Amino acid sequence: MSFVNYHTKEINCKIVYYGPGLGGKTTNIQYIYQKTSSGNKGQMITLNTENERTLFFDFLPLDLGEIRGFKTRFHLYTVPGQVFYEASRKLILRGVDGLVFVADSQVERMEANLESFHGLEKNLLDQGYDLSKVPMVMQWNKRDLPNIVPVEDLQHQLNKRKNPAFEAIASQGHGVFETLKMVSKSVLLNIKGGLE
Amino acid sequence: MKAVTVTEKVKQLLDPKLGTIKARLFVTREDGITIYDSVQDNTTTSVAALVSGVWQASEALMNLVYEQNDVKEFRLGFDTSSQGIYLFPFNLTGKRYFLGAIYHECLNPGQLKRQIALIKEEMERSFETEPLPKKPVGSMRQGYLFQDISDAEIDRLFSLGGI
Repeated sequence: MSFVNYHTKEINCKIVYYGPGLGGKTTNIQYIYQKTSSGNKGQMITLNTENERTLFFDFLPLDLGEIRGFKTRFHLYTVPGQVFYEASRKLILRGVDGLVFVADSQVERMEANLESFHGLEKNLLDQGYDLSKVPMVMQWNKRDLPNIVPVEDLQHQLNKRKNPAFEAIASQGHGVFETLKMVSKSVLLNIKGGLE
Repeated sequence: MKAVTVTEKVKQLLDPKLGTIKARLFVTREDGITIYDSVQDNTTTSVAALVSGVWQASEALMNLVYEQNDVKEFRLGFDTSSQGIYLFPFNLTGKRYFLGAIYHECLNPGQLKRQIALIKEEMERSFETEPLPKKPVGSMRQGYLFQDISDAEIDRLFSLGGI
């Protein structure tokens, strides 16, 4: 979707946080929302179930400053993580410019991580994306919990493409902005259309 | 001044209508990017994202039940007798956009919907009769917008965002 308006010198990009249910996607977005000054963020939209699980998506528009004269606006989305919301996840991936895969580091969630990652690959392929060309950052979340998978194992099982990866404790903000900055940089570097 | 982009042309067409349309009027791209909004505040971007989400979900729902449904002629309404949302898809320069209105305390929603439909037709006509100037051959932008971006530039970008 990345949309560059060369006349007004504006860039709009779509970043999607993907991953298994209860992995911390919404927590990432909420932390970013809390720490961003009011003039630089739009209204955060959360479409939740009654028990505060993501139903359709969370959305946070971030108006950052300028980079080389271009005003940048990032649209951050999360997908619903629960397995039965596959149709919604497909819709939200349309027009994606960059991905953050938020994995739950707990041993008992490894199967869910793998299922979600394979679903992501399938959904991207179904929509005609070349997986090697979509900027992606991996986030190993919940590193503060007991019984977690070693980072090397997460890398081995989930990050065969050697995408940039960050350890995180999203509930405390650790790793949240490191992840966002990396995916933002990758997305900006991937925008087609040089200056005339 | 002659418009050179869709955004400029839509603005030229819609700004004069605001005096007669008692609703928030907006145009969004299919992917949720704002092209025009009569209200510019911290809800502007979110309106466009939700419009896109609502439309895509509705389209998927329709196709789920009646596969291969042609949604070109569809409209979307969410309303009571005095308030609601109304969305019209339309095509400009080969791409799909939505013209929408959000209204409340409206005495005659039927009339408002008719006004929106006429504006949509006027926009389509205008783009047909006065197309945007074509870019000269060979002016297509090649390669990537940025060849390199340093970590310091990204840090600066985010610090400007108050982060």
